[in-house]
Amino acid sequence: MTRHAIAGIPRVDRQLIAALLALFLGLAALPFFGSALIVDKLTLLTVYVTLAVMWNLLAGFAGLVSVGHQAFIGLGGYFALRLVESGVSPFPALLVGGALVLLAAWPLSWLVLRLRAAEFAVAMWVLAEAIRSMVMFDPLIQGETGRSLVALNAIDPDLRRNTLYLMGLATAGAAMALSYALLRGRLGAEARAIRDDAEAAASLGVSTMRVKRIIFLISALGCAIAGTIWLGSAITYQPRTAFGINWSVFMLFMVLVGGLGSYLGPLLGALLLFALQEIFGDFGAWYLAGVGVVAILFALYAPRGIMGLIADRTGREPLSMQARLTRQGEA
Amino acid sequence: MMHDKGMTPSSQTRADCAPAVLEATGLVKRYGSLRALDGVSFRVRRGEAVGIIGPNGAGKTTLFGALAGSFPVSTGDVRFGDRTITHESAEARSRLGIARTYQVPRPFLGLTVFENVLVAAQAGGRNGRDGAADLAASVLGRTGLAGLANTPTAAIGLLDRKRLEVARALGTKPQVILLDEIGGGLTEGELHELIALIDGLKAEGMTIVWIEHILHALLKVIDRLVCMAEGQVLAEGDPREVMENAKVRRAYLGSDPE
Ligand SMILES: Nc1ncnc2c1ncn2[C@@H]1O[C@H](COP(=O)(O)OP(=O)(O)OP(=O)(O)O)[C@@H](O)[C@H]1O
Ligand SMILES: [Mg+2]
Repeated sequence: MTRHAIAGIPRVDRQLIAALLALFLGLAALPFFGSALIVDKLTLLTVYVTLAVMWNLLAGFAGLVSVGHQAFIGLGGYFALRLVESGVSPFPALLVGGALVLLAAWPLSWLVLRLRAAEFAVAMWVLAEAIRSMVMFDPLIQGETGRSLVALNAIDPDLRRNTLYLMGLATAGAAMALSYALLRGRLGAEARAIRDDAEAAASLGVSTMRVKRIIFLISALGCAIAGTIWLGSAITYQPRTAFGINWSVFMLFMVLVGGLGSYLGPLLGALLLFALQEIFGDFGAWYLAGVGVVAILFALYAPRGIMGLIADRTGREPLSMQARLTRQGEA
Repeated sequence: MMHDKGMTPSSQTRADCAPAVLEATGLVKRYGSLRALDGVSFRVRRGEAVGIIGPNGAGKTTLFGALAGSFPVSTGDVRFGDRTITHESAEARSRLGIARTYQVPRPFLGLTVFENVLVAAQAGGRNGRDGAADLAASVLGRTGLAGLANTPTAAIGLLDRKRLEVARALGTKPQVILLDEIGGGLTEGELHELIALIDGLKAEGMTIVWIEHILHALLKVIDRLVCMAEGQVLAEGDPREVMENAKVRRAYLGSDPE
């Protein structure tokens, strides 16, 4: 009998991965030659990439469409502020504060992951609002007024900027590497199966709650750390912004336009959102209109996003997470 | 409740002496005021092949759901070997060795045909990645899907989706397989292949429960026949005797079901 196996990574994909790694290393060297303005802007881009990758992992692969992940962005920022206030130095506080959201996400996962798709989406939004109200009760936050991470102002601006940028880059890289490893493996196929039909997946022995919980927790953690890095560069923490529904709108935009459920889609979506903000950002309301128009155009003419267009043209989705069956020995 | 147990002295087969591998007692499943299962007791012995027939809406598919843990039953018990599994999840029952197919196929449309079976082989069959790929490939071969392995499932037709139901169930390496109307729409030749497949599974010692309207196919493989109607077991025992049972004939509105 011929032995069968799952095909290895095709050559095109290996080349793409090598190119992405080279890009990553090049970007890591940016603080040595890039201007302060560029470093600041690219920090925001790394935040967008992380958020998009996380939301895609959640919605595109596990079918968990959330419009409330700003709960973790806002909560991570709050924890970071609290840590700084109690004497932790700011950079570790950003990471630890982000990680602490798992304390909230873990119990919440038991609650929300039992809900149906539409209920889940709404429940997440309601939770985000509820957590925001609770955070606003803390005297430290002073309600709507918010609070500044003044400890960060005490740090040399160049050091602060470059550190935040490298933290953002490392987070985005880790988000992409981790989701690649997970999605290429058993968890990825199981998540997609659950997304397509949870009951049928359960009937085949898939631990549906476990798979959903792992992905939910990773996405909460990723969003929170992206959020604290953003807070680090914004310095001021205002509950209305940190828990703003804007975050969900951005995540939705990046993932839907990039290509829901594709590996590279969120990266492209983040680049597009970033570019739109650069081009139209000075026009205030026009920029939001531009984002809206692009989203509508994609919904109408390219519902599978940029990656869908590429896959249609080349016949294969680059860095597809599909497991192909081959005879052993074949490429 | 009518079990008509005593009517089958001639159906003494080898399997009759073996203990029940899967046994349900007094199952009731209510949907509002409707009793989809109205006190059903059902047992199948290890290595036995049992057919289930009955008019539309008899509760056959609901019985499979209750056995496989797709939903909680209102009352009644399900046992597998010597453990009670009434409150076990569908996931747990799959891992114990019970696999079901869906009458209306429920493939993972965003996955390829191979990936559909791979998920089953990894989760239910508890294999490593290489073992799972091998198992999935062999199951695809047995069910006639080898040529479609890397095809997106959304692109395959109903008959292949039914084959995929069987392939996925086999991917979990089950002890008991519950097949729900997998023969409908097949040509005579394809039906022949299906019967050969099920005979093969039986020869390997797998326990088979098969709901099917195509009686002549069913009768080629089963040891025992159960007829359901209106949420109850109307008759069970030797296939030919069940077919001649007056209640069974009446359930089919007086017509010869064949
Ligand atoms: N989820 C549900 N909600 C409400 N009623 C249901 C549900 N599932 C099944 N029923 C009802 O329960 C009864 C039994 O249905 P079931 O699907 O078990 O019949 P069946 O014997 O498999 O029929 P068929 O030969 O048509 O497949 C039917 O009256 C059906 O309408
Ligand atoms: Mg049915």
